[in-house]
Amino acid sequence: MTDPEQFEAFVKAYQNMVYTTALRLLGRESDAEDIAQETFLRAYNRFGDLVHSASAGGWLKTVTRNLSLNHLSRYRARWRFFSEMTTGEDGDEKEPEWAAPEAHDAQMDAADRRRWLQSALRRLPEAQRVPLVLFHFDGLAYEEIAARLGVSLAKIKTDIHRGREALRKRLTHEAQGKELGLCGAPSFCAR
Amino acid sequence: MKTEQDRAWERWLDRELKQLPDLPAPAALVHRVMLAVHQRRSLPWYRRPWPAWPPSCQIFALLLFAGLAGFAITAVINPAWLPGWKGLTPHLEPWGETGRGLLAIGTTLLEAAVLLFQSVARHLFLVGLVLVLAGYLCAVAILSACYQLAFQRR
Repeated sequence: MTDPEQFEAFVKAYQNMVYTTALRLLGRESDAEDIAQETFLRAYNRFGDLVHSASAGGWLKTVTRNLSLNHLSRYRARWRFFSEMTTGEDGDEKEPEWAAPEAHDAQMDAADRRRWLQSALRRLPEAQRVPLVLFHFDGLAYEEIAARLGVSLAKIKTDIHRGREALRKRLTHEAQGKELGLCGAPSFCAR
Repeated sequence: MKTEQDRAWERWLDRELKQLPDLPAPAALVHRVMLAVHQRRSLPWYRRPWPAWPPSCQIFALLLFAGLAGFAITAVINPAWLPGWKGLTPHLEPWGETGRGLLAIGTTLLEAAVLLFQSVARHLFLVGLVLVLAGYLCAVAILSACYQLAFQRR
């Protein structure tokens, strides 16, 4: 029988990683909490194996990712519908010319830059955010992402490209307003 | 066509994203999980998921289902064997009234099954079984094809 106190310590140790993984894919805090809870309940069922395993973190991350993607796939038809509606929103319009803000101390602005990046990532449309997260955070190849999401390779490449462009525009825009020193990034303020 | 500027941006973005720290989970998450765990622990074992059953119950259930499956297969292949099960009667005597009641119910059910096997030719029964399985597989295949057509990859 699993010791509740030991399991509680286990949850506390991994909750941030599990919650963040779910939130980056799902974009909604309430959904991420639900998925995190389900992940830990599954971990509870095999806690005996996980508690002393060095791969517990990897197991939790994989389960969280699969549960999140399954959650999204339940709304796949809707997801595709909105994906098509929003394809022109961020990728097809002409790139605006952003004026380069003044250079700032990169060290001082790193925390702000990451906060803005987290926020901008969550505001991306689902069709762009999910493949972007799978590519950059989980290290999946384009082909794996296409297979996992059940869409074509071309669409994955387009969505990831549009997601990156949307991030570039949004972060540059924020930088203009907040003067975050984003010119430390190559080509960030060039357009 | 990607420019060098685009590639530099991708590299920068990849590095920045990988460096993003984990977000703090809501303070209530641990409590929520532990509450769900407590609720799950308070469930009787037979209402929990299979992996959470006590090992003795898992083994017993496996043996029971294996026995039932073996019995069903034997009954289909060799229904003439079934009436011989009444030889168990003396073994159930120590169970008293309960044992005799269970035996009576079992006898009725098995005799009905034997009658069914004897009245319907065995090969006909097997053909029916094969047809049911084939029908099920066809239904799965047709539904899968419909699903593929409806949600065709773009």
